Amino acid sequence: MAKIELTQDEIAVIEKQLNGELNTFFMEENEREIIDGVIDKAEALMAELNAYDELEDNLVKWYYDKYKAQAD
Amino acid sequence: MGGRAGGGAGMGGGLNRDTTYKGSIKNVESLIKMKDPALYKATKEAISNFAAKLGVPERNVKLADLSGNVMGIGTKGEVYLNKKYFNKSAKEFGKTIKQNYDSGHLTKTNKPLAHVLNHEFAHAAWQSSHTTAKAKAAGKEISKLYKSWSKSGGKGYGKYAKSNVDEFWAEVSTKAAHGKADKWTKQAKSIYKKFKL
Repeated sequence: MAKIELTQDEIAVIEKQLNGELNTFFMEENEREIIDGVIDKAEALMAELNAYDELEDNLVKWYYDKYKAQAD
Repeated sequence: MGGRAGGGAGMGGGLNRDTTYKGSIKNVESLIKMKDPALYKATKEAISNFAAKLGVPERNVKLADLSGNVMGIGTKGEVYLNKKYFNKSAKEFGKTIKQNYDSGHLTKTNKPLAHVLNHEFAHAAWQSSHTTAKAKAAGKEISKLYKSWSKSGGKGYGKYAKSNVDEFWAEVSTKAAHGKADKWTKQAKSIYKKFKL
């Protein structure tokens, strides 16, 4: 598995999303692009690792936890 | 939608947080007070359609001033829509939904205006933060459905549905009400029926 790289903007949007602060319909365009990009990357990694048993109920959280785990 | 105030990790925006919403509900009004008659009409149709297509009782929906950027909340059998958003025009809603469809962010349906309402009604019907026995029992099946759907690649849905089980549920419910039926919408409908959500 390649190292997960996240920009500061991606981290900010991920945290906003996990805190329930992103409006599904009326989020800013740049936020929409960022969160959708993160979802794409998370989905690709999930498929690569075939880690669906680890998914629980939140793909974004799973991906962010992976990122934080490698940073520790 | 507007982030779900207090909805917990990953709930980006839906109604309900009946157990978690910590904000206020002020200036409750009838939907007839909506500023744009076209949005009012679409809302009334969405309420009826959601009930008919998913086999659930019609929601008692009202307008209210809600804290933060939540689109709405569902509590004690009622749904409150945030005036901050629902006093916008149908045209503004339509433009926003089109952007969300064109970018692949949301699941395309044949009723863009109703999409917002149905998405919110679905959050009100069930969310992973709900703590009733019925919600927990339904949650086990919805969680399984989310995992199976994720593993399948999630084709036919917007990207945001993949973000977490709550957004998946809101989008598969919306598609069940206004989109092209598939194996996931059929299973969602059976969950509504089985658990009387």
